[in-house]
Amino acid sequence: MARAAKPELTPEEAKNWRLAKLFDLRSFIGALLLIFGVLVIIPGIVAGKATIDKSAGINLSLWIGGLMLVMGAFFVTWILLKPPPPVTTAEMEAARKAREEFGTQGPPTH
Amino acid sequence: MTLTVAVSEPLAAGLRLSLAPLDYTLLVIYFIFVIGIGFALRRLVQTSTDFFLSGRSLPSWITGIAFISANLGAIEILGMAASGAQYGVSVVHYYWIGAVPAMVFLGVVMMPFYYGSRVRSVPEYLLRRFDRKTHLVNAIIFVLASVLIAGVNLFALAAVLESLLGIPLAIAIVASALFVLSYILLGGLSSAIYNEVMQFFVILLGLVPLIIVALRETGGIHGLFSKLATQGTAFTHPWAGTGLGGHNPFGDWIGIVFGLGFCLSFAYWTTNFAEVQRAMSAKDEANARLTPIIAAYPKAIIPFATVIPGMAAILLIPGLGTAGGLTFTDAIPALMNKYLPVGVLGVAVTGLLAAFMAGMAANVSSFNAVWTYDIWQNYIRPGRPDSYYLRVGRITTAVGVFIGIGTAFIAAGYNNISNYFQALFSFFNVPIFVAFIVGMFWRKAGRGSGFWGLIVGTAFSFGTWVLYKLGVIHFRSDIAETQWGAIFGFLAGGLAMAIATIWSKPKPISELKGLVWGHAVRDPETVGKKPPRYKSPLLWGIGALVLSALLYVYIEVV
Repeated sequence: MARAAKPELTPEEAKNWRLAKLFDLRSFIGALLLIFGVLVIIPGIVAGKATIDKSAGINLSLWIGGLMLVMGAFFVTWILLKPPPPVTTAEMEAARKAREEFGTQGPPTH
Repeated sequence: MTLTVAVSEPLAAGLRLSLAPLDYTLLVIYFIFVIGIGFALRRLVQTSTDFFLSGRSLPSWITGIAFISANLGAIEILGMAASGAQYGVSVVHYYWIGAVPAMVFLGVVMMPFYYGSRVRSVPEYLLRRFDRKTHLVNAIIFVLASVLIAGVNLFALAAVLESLLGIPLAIAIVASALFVLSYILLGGLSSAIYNEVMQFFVILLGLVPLIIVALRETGGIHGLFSKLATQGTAFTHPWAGTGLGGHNPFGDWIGIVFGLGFCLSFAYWTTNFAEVQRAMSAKDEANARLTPIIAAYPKAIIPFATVIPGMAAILLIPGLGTAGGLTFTDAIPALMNKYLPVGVLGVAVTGLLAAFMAGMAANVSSFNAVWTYDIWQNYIRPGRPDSYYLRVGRITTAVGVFIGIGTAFIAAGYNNISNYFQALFSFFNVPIFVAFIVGMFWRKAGRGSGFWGLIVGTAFSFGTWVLYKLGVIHFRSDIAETQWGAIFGFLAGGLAMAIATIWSKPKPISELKGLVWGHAVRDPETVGKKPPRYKSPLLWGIGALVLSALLYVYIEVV
C-alpha cells in the first residue's frame, strides 16, 4: 500500500524521502535486471539455429532475458507499492543519536 | 574463510573465454551499478554503527540474502563444482548436514544472545561472557585471518581474470582491490551487503542456464547418475561407504555427523563474524533471527547449481581432470564457455567476478569492524567520540586492503600458501566455538575458562593434524582427518573449560544478563510484539531441516 506523504513534511524531508525511495536496494536491483534483461533478450529474439544448437537446442538468451525482465519488474513493482516510510528530521536525529551511542558503548564494567 | 573441501588446483591456462562486446558491456554496466551504490549510500553513513553494522536497519530478506551471498564466493562455486567432479555427490554433505542445521541453530537459539545483549561483534560476546584474554585471542586471530584470507581471495580473483579474460595478474590484483576499497569506503557495510544481494541474483542467473543445459545433455539427474555409475557407488550415493571401515573419501558417519555436521559447521556458521555481522545488521531481533534461516533455503538448493554441474562436466567436457587437460576447477568456466550464448555468458562471468569481489568485501568489512571496535576502542584508544571511530574504521579499511594486496602478491609467488592459511586458521575455529557454546549454556563456566578452552582445543586440533601428517595415526582421507581433528579439539576444549572452572570463579548473574541461557534479554523493539506465525524462526527453521532431509532422500532414490 502506498502511504500518502505526511502533510507536515518539510521540503528537506520530502527530498530525503524521494532519495530514500530512489536509493532503496529494490530500485537498484530492479533497474539492473531490467537493463540486463533487455540486453540479453535481444540476441535471443534474433538467434539463429547455430546459436540455439550450441545450448543443447534451448534458446537460453530468450529464457534468461525474459526471466530477468520479470524479476526486474517484480522489484520495481515492489518498491512502488511498498516504498520506505517517510521519516521526519526529528526522528532521524533521534535515531542517529541512538546509533552513535551504540557505536561508542564502553567496555563492560568489571 | 569458507567451509569447503580444500581445492589446490589452479585454473588451466588453456581455457580462455570468448567474450563478445555485449558480454563486456554487461560487465561494465554491473560495475557502474556497484560504484553507484557506494555513492548513493554515502550520505547514510553518519555514525560508526552505520559503517560497521549498516545502522542496524535492514530487513531480513536483505540480510538473509547477504548472509548466503557472503558465503557464496567464487571460491565456493568453483571449488564445490571441482569437488563434485572429483568426488561425486558426497559433496552435498557440506550443504545439507554441514550448513543448514548450523544456520537454523544460529537463528533459532543463538541469535537472541548476539542481538539482545547489544554486542557489536562476535569477539565482543567473549569479552562480556569471559575476560579480556579470551577476547583478545579471538579478536587478533580473526583480524589476522580475515586480512590474509582477503588477500588470498584477491589473488584467486586476479588469477581468474588472467586465465579467463587475459588481464595481467598484477593489474587485476591492484584494480580489483581498489574497486572493493572504494565502494566500502563510500558506503561501509551497507555497500557490501547491497552488492552481495545484487551479486546473488546475477550469479544465480548465470548458473541456472548451466544446470538446464547440463541436465538436458545428460538426461536429467537420473540419467546423469546412471551414466556415472562406472565411477563407483559412493560417487552417486552420499552415504555409501560411510560405515566404519568403508571407503567413502568423505569419511565415516561419525565424522560426517559430529565432525562436519556439528563441530566444523557450527563453528563456521555461528561464530564467524563475516557471517554473523550480516544478521547483526538487521533492524530488530526478529529480523536478525530470520536472517540465517532465510539463507538456509538457498543454501540447501545451491548444490544443484554447483555439485551437479561439476559432476555433469566429467561427461560433457572431454579430458576434464586428466593430466594435460583442464583441471577440475575449470568445470564451471568450461561449461559456460561451451554452452552459454552471447549475453548469457556475460551475465555468468559478471556473476563470477562479482562473487569474488563480494568474498573479499565480506572479509574486509568484518575485519575493519573487529579491529576498530574490539581492538582499537578497547585496548588502544577508548572513550573517544563516535566520529573518531568512524574515521578509524575508514583508515583501517584502506590499510586492510593494502595488506590484502601485499598478501595477494605473496600468494602469487608461493603456490600453496593459500592452503596453508586455510589450514592454519581452521585449527582455531572449533575451539572458539567451544568457548561460545559452553559459555552460553553453562552459566557457571568460570571467567577464565574460555581462554583455556581456546588454547587446549587448538592444541588438540593441531596435534591431531601433526600426528596424521607424521603417519602416527591414520585416517582414510584428509577430509576425514579434519572431521576427527575437530571432534578431538571440541572434546578437549570442553574438558579444559570444565577443569579451568574449578579454580576460576563463575561471574555473578548481574554480569551475565543477556549472555547465558535462561537469562536472555529481549530486544526492546521486539518485546510485547509477538511476530505473526508466518514469521516464526522456529517454524521456518524446521522447514529448512525437513527440506534438507527430503533432498537427501531424493538424491538417494533418483
